[in-house]
Amino acid sequence: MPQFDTSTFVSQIFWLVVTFAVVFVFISRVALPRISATLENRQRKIGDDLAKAGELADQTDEVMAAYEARLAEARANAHEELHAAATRAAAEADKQNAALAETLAANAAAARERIAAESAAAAGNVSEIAEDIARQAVERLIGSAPDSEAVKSAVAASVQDRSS
Amino acid sequence: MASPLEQFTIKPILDLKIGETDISFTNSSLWMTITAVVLIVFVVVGTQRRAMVPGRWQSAVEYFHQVVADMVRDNVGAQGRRYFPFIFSLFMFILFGNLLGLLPKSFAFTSHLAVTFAIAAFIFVGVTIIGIVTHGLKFFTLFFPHGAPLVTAPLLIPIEIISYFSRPVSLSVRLFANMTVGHVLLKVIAGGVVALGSFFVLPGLLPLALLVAITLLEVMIAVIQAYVFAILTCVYLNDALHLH
Repeated sequence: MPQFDTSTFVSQIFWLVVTFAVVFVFISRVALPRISATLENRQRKIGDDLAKAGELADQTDEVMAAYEARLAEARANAHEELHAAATRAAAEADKQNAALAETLAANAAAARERIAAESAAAAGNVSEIAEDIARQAVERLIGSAPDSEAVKSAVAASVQDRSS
Repeated sequence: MASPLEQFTIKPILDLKIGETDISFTNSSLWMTITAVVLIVFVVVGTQRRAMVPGRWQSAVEYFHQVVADMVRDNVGAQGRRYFPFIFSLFMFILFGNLLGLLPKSFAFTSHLAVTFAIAAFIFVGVTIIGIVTHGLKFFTLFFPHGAPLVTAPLLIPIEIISYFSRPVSLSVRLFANMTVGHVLLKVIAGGVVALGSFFVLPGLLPLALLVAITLLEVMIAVIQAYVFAILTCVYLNDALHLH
């Protein structure tokens, strides 16, 4: 077996040491520092990006909160204004109602007065007609006109009698 | 037909000597050099752009880095970070050596015990020194499991010492044996393809299919053995740093 040919051992080990030493130097002095730097940069970049994303998210939250506050405020204002307008309208309506009621009451009172006057007048007319009728009826019955004063008192007494 | 072991022969390409010692540049040295060059190109060019969003090449390098970094962190902990460059180089060197050794006409230098044992012995000595420097004489409590009854000491201590000293042997033989057996298997089955296929085309297809399957298996073994070598190095390092 060539593996046990001791005459080649020194040469094998010599070249192993040489080649491995070269490999080790290149890897430890060139490749690994580069890889570490790259990985570190990448890690830092990822960290930075995450931090920035977090900041932006915070800003978004702030803007959102401000927007919500504005919205609530506007809603409250609108509500208040609506309430004020409703109150104003109610007051106006009350005033108009009151005025209308007053006018109506005045009209009603005037009408009642007129009715009273007219019914009084009508009552006066009724006694006149009654006197007339009584006079004519007496004239037909007895042939002469009765004394107008007597007729008047008789009618008044009769009306008094009826109405009592 | 040539012996399936012939592929492991070390042939000098350039004869070199330091004094009386033969350090000829051989086919083994050539493939170590090719492995080193391919590996260096892979990691150096792959990390050149240092892109925030890596391309395919950079992703591949970062992936290997991640695998070994996780391995060191899980098996050694934070103190293992100092030794990460060595473990990463070791894993990549063995991995690339194993994989390039599977190419036709190439040479798998990891199929030689001298190479694997040299690496394992270096790790063994290094880990022992790290242990003694870190813990002083307390390091030798490693040979006596914590909490075992004192009476068992005469039995346990020799067992622990033997198991400790067999580490470099098992570590090196595992890699060397896996690579050697794999290559022998490929060679034997490939010989079967030629032998059967030269008579009839159809019977030759069976060993060919087997050869394809075994080749895939060998690729897997090449990766797994590099991983096992690195992870055992981490385990030994962890023992030295944290005792039991």
